[in-house]
Amino acid sequence: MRQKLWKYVGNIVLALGVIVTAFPFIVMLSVSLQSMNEIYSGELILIPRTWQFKNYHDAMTNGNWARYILNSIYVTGTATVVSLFVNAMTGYVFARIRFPFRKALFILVLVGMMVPPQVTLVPLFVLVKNFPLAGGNNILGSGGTGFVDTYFGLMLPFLAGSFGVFMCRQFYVMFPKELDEAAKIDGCSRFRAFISIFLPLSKAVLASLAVLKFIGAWNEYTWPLVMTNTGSGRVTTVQLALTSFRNEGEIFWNQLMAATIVTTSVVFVVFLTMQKYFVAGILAGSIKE
Amino acid sequence: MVRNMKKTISLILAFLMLIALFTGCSTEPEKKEETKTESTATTDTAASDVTLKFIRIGNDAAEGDYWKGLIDSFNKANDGITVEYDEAAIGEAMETKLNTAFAAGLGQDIIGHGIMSVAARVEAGHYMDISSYFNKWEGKEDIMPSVLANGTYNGKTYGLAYSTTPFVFAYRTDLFEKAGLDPNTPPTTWDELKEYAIKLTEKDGEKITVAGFAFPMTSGNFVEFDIFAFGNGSLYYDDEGNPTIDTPEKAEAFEFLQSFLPDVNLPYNSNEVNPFLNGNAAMTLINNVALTPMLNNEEYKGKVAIATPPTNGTDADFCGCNMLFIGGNCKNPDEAFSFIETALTKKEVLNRAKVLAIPVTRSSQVDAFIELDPMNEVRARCVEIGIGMPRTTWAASFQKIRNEMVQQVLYSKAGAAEALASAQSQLEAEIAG
Repeated sequence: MRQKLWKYVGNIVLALGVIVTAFPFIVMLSVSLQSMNEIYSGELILIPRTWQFKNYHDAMTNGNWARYILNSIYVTGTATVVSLFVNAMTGYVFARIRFPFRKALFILVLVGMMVPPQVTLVPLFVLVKNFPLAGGNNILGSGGTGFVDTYFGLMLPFLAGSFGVFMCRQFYVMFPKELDEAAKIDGCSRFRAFISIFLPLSKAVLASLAVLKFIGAWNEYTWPLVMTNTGSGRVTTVQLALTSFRNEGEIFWNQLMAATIVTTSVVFVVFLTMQKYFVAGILAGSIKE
Repeated sequence: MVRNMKKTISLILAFLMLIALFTGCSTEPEKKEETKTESTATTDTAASDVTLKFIRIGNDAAEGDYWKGLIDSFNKANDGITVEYDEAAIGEAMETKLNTAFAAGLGQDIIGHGIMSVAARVEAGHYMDISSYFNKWEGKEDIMPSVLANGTYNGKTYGLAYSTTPFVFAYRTDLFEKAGLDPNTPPTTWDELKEYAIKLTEKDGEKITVAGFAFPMTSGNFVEFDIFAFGNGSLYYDDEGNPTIDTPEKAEAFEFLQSFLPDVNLPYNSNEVNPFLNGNAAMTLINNVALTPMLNNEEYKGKVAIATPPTNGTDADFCGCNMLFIGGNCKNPDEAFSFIETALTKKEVLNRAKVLAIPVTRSSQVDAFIELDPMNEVRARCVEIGIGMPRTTWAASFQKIRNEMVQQVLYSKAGAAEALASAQSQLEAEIAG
């Protein structure tokens, strides 16, 4: 009896949690289908009086949204995949290979986690702009625009990342030494051992990291803001485009929410499609056979 | 052998990276030096291809399309000059984008920005003194003095306005009639405002259902209070540029507002919509652009009118303004000013009024502007008597302190005299550092 009661209480708490979590999304969906008059009425309206589906059309024709979404998918997807490989390899090197100044270099990597991104914004921008032989630059990195307003420039800061290196290093450091020795006896080079043995065993850490990296890159606002020419819209990402639903005196909340629903849907679809891999990856590290 | 080669390659790569790093870090000073020498010698560059980077504050599609169209026709009409368009959202986005670009030595050539940016960016070397160009400009005598003032700093001209956003006094004609007031004679004085507001307020018991006069409780920028201060003859600063928060005129403005607001107002905060826009207020002071959706709403067709704000003797209003500046690092100021001239011709000023409903900034275009819409007479007048935010390095501190002060006096019931004195000394302390 008591067990049943606790079960009910648990379910109620969980249901409340679901409502609290889902409520902002429900409001967002509702506002995306309301007229501006309803929004201005000052009441909380969850079911629109007249369903304004044209808000979606208006929002998606306010700029080149197909391009913005594709830009975001391309930048986020590429940055996530490449950064996972780079992070895993760097983490592997710090965890499994002994070399001079290893600890000092790893501390440097950790320092990267402690410096806020606002501090590194300008130096990073200068480095990307002055990248030698890129975007009309000479060998000394001057004369052109480097990687400014390019896809590569947008991805660059996400390709490494201290946190990913730290996470992978902590993961690889737990593997037994015998695994390296067995690989060596079988004639594997370090790189081969990483690719054939360690990487396939890293699904758990890579799945978690992929989620974090994807969300981080997809939601990034400041770096694309300073890196891209929003006027041309060539490499504009969705987060930048979402700011265009306002003028000097008004915010078009219905269109803004409609565009937000569309961009969130992309992430939602990605996660629904990849969910089983993420879950399998996360479980892979926790079950011993 | 192989090890030595690896070492050599590593050293070369490290050396190249160091050079790239130092080149990157040293770009800005180099460009500043170049600017100094090249700003007076632009004839050579005029002959070759010139690319000008233009950024404007705001990224709404309508204005973006207007600027892209103008730039397109300018580029076609000017062989050898290419203007590249960029934009940034209002607020932090614009500041971040400009600061990063200037810090990296990639500062834009033409910048469309607001009044609050003037002093700080002039001091930082981000805006160029365009007095010499302005003095030769055909529109010099035609630009409204109130608008021109916004782009000046320490007696020099830095920016020329392309858009203005005056605050207007908006009122509901149908509610006027319902209260037995003549909708054609809105209040022009403080006394009338108070009298009308009391008559127009509708209550259900003690609860106000329709505000006679809607006034904000919090705001991003409390210019509604400034309008009352201006109307009573008080400005942001004196002739020497010292802040004038604590003045008898401002104290009087507070006393006036305190005397009737609690009985007629539905205060709203910065996250809420002005109750006037959702039909719950009879009168308000509102940004001209923010009023547009209501004027276009069929439900309120013919029921909303605008006027200049009621005053206590001084005809004055608040008016925001965006201007075109030439970047401090611009290597081709002649070409940059040529673009500014194109954007500010009589034709383009009127075109913006038609396409974007932006009040004109040139006196000669006022009649044509009024022909577009009878309400434009009020809008033009509001621009003519408009005063913009302070063009001082302490403008941001002033804004914060003023906002806190207004809230304290009007909603926390603090004494006006104490609050004004405290705000004045707080700002003076911040200016003194």
